[in-house]
Amino acid sequence: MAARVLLGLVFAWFGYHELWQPRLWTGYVPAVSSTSGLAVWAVLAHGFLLLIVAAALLFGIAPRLVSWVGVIVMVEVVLSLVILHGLSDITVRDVGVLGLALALATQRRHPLALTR
Amino acid sequence: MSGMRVGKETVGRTGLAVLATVAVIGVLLGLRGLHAPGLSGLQSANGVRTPAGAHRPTGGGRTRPTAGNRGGKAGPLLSSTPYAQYAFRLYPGTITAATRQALAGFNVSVRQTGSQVRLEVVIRGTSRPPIRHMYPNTDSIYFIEASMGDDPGLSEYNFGDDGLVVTNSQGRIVG
Repeated sequence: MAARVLLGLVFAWFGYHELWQPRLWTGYVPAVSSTSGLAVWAVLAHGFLLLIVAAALLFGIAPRLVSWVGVIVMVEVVLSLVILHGLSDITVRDVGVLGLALALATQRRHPLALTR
Repeated sequence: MSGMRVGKETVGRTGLAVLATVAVIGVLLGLRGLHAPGLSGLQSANGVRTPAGAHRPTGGGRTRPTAGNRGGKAGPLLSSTPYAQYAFRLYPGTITAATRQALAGFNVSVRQTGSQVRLEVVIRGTSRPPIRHMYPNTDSIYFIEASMGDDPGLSEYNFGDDGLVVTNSQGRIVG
């Protein structure tokens, strides 16, 4: 449960900041100019998804399913970082978050999950 | 009906209500973010935010002073903006270790020439031309780095949170 909550907090932090100040994050959007409106919308969509995943993880709503969504999000983040910037400490850090999401996704039992 | 089956898991009414509430909060945050100005008062140039009031060189790499071209009033106090906490002073004074770290991905030189200060910003690893500006030597020049987390080593991953802010002697933003 601690892993689930901590991963949820990580996603919540990034989701909140991407929604609150999307223009500070557009530099991460691949293949799109960081000053374009499309990049801002991409960050907003990404932030919204992160916020929903975070809430589901924190409250234990379908934890395995949302953990798989978290895995997909982190694979996308890691791949885009590797492709655009190569290996770095930031990339390796995100691989760790990916590993945490993967561990939660493959866990059979999730205590205190909200099923009501 | 006790809940909705999603794969092998169940999402009940309470869970759906929580997700719906968070979705509404997310939409509201996104609407606010959509209209958030980013680095306030800055315009983009080659992916790096540059002061709106400053002149970019138009040819031959020459720079023009901005002192006489400030038609508008000075803006708010930098200290009153959310970017104050991310501002690293380039001029006056010496560049600190923290500022050097914030400048990851950039080569910045500041040189005083008479009553003017010449600023040159080079984006490392690109063929983009240097950004050059002249300011009155009474101004203060700050580099804005909103997140150090995107600076592995001497690289810069995200130029979207970087910028330059210039304030007058009263600390008000002029560019």
